[in-house]
Amino acid sequence: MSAGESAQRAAKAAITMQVLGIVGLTVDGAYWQASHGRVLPAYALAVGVFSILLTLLLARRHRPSETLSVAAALANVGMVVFALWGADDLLAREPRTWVPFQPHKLSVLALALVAPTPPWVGVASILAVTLAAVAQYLTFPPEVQAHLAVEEPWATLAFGAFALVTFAHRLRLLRIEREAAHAQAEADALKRLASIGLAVRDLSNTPLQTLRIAVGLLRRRHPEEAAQIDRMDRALDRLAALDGAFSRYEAETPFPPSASFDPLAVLEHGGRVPEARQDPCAG
Amino acid sequence: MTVLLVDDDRDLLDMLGEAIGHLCNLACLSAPSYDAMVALGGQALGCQLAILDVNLGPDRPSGIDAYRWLSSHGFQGRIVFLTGHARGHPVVEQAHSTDAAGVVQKPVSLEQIRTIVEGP
Repeated sequence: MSAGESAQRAAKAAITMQVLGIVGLTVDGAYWQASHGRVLPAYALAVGVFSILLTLLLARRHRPSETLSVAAALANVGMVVFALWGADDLLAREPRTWVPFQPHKLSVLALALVAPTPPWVGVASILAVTLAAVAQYLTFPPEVQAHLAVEEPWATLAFGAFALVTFAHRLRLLRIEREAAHAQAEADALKRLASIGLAVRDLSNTPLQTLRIAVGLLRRRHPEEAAQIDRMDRALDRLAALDGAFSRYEAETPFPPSASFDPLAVLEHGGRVPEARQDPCAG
Repeated sequence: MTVLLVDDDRDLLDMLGEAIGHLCNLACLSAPSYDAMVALGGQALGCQLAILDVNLGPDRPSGIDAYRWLSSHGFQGRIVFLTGHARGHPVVEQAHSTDAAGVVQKPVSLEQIRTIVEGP
């Protein structure tokens, strides 16, 4: 993958993360508004930061920067961890039953699917969200830990591990996709080279034939010039060897279904066989 | 015996005619295109051997078309294709599928030309 493609991919991933962050915290903020009559300031701050990052990334989308994308992705993760820490701290101390760290679990799965490359960014992001939840759990007093609905921190750690495996699988798929694209590009280049070779061969065979006959006739008519004619014959032999070398690529050449193959047109099209034209004898 | 030569390269037509005259002491009738061959009419049909270039130029009737014209007009001689195209080229495949006496890859030597003219 080229540097440009890598930057493009990283930018798309970073943009997706900002959009997911804005949507996720807005929905969670609506929950807070409905259940507690207020939105946490950290949520508003995070949504503001995501919006700025999204604007920056969109402004640079035609000339993306991998560094900016990575920084935006890490900032996104940092803001999510910061916002969720405050929210979970409040929810954990409330008397109602609370299923802990749900947004963290959702976040690590989302990161496994959308985190930008290079790989360390995804791994660091998943570890940061997972370990933040574990760290926060350890800060809870024993009585708070005792009334949590799910066994923690094991559930969060399991989600983190699952997210890392999913992320590794995604990286593997990306690598296979890159290798397939590379192999396809090489095969296309080989086909074009083969077409060029055979077009050259097509163009050279007739003049080569003319020279071969002319040299043969000269040898018969002027045997005293044998030394000169031998040199000409050897030169023709070398050209014939070149012709033979090109013929080995014949199987790779995508000939058009029609007979109207113009070797000059193939050379003008950089080895691509142009579309066949109407057969002048048809009908 | 007269040999009909059809090739879009005039230099090669001249050289082939000269070689066949020199090697086999035969006269040749040359046509640089399908249309020129058709214009020769009965003269072309009266030849005992036709050596046809498979490719008579892009977007022009090919040697296969010349073969079909000769066959459909009662040509009684042998027909041999000469080609500079690769073996896998569709028009060369067509040439191999005809009842022509042979399809020969350019470039050929004088000895091979003599063999083609003298036949089996």
